[in-house]
Amino acid sequence: MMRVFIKLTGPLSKFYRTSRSAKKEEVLIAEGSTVADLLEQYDVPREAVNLVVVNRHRAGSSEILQENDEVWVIPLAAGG
Amino acid sequence: MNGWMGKILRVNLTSGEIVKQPMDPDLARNYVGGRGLASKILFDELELDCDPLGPENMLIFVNGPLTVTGALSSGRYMIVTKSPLTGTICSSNSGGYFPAAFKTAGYDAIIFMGRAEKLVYLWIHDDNVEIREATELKGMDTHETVELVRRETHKEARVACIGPAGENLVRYAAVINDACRAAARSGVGTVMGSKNLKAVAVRGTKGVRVADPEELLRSNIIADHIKKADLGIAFAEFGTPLFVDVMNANNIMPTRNFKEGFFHEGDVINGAEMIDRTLVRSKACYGCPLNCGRNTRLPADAKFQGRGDGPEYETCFSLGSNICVGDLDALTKMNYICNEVGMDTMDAGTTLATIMELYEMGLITEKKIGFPLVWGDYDNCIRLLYLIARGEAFGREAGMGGKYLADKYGAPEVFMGSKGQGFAGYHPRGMVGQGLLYATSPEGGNHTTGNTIQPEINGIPEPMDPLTATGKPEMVISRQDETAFIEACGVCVFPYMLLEEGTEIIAEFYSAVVGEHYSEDDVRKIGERIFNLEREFNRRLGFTRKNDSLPKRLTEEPHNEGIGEGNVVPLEEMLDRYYQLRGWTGDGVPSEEKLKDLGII
Repeated sequence: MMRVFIKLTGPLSKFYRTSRSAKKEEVLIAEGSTVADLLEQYDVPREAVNLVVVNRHRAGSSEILQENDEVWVIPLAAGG
Repeated sequence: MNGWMGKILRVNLTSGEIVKQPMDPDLARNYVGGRGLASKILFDELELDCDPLGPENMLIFVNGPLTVTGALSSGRYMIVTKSPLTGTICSSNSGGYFPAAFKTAGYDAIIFMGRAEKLVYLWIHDDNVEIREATELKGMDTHETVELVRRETHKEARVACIGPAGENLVRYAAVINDACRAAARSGVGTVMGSKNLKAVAVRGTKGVRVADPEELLRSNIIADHIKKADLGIAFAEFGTPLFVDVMNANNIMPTRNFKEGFFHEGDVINGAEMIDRTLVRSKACYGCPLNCGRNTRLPADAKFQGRGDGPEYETCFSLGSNICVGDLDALTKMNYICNEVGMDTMDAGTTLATIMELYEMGLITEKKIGFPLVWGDYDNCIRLLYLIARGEAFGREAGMGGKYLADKYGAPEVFMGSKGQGFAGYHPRGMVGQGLLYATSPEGGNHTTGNTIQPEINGIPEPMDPLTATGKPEMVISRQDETAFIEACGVCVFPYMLLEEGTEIIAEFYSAVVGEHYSEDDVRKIGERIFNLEREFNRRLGFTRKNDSLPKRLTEEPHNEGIGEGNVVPLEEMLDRYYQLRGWTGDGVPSEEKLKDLGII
């Protein structure tokens, strides 16, 4: 197992396990897990996600995660 | 007339003369209303080279034919004038409930000319219009002004007013309506101050005639769809500050005066933190399903106290990340102060960021300011905001804006704006189309003339690479023209720009209101006419390609670590193509043929 961090932003924060107010969560996942595996573990529906950023770089759903990676999950949003 | 009230009010503040003039149907057909109608009036009547703060400048309050019709989000008005900040034509847009009252009083526009001898306000109760003395309102903030004007007029009057910043001619003073909504940009409040006009109070009880009311019932279906969609839910819950996370994730949240695109303390100034700490309730403007407004209160344990609205995303950037303030309480307080004194939070923030960088470079000293001003020092930012609004000490100079200061203190390159107006909260090195938009906006560094987020960041309608020039000139032109039409209608751009079929919907609503068929192409053409007219207004004042510029920080300094690392804005390449597609010369001048084709000359 390895440790990664997940940050669920905006309306996706309802998928946090600890509290909606969490800034991010630490999670243990199997070595070799991908972005898609992580989102599945968190029950985040794929259509609700507009962008995944791993360590401040855009990531595809098949990207394999590494120990201590920080994964940001971003919904569709517009305005300003 | 269907849609229009058919009447324009002309108020000469010098002579006190008030004239009601019928709306010219050709003018309405060709320029619609809002920004379009008012820009055309300015173009035809203003001595273009006039001093923006002289009595000869005109200040136009204007709504549109769709305002208060039941069309989606139809509660907007605009203030159009020649800007004292940029010297260009400008249009500043606001929502709330004032626009509905203004239109139902029976007027499509109010044109203010001249300058009152003493401070006055205008009171409109349907057909009764009077100029009243307002000397007792001098120096009052916008909240106090609303209260007092209502006491003197009607308890349900809707009030748009300036605060001390407008009275003291801070070049980025705002007009605040309904206490917390702002026609903030380009110094429209400064022009109002220069005319000694403190407030406009309105009570309207008339109806708006619509050709096909049944077609407008579709608004309810679309509103319902928006409310249930992920995007609508997110908007209602988090408001525009949701964008802090989105911009940070995309590495385009301008930070430290645009040196960077990532703010490490984003978590403490975002929509989620507002829900936990300051949000009282979400709120909507007239006739809008989005509920993106935030009514907030600073908690009892906060260092600062106050209650009001916001901040919106743009303020989270301008008085947050861009000056390195990672403290929601301080940010909220600064937002309240700007609303109370009547000042644009965005150019106030740009000005603070410019001073901070000049201070860091040793070009402005502690002695000059009266205190130190380092990145993130919100206590001294608050001190300076008050000095600016009052026009006292260094605040007098700071009230001239970031460009003035950067030029005066020998580092023009540190001003992050275009044509004298500060940028919005989207870093163009990470979304270069936004850079083209800023450079070509008729009113300077402004995101509201056609935001590029949907195509560049959300990939709607089709994914496009935010980092390259490919397709950007075409996309920006289309966004600019569509936005010009939407704003001319007197509705909010948000829902129409969010929906993929937004242009089709606005064309259908417009057709239903006026009773004639308009296709998507027809409304784009009207938008193009408005945009070109504004361009030609500026061109006659000498604005050409040389003014469609961006600071070197965006075009030469590579983007910081993260998404888009190393990228710069390929402005000149985009401009060449943009001008060509627009039918303008290589110097950015609309050709005679183009102006004739659009019926401008």
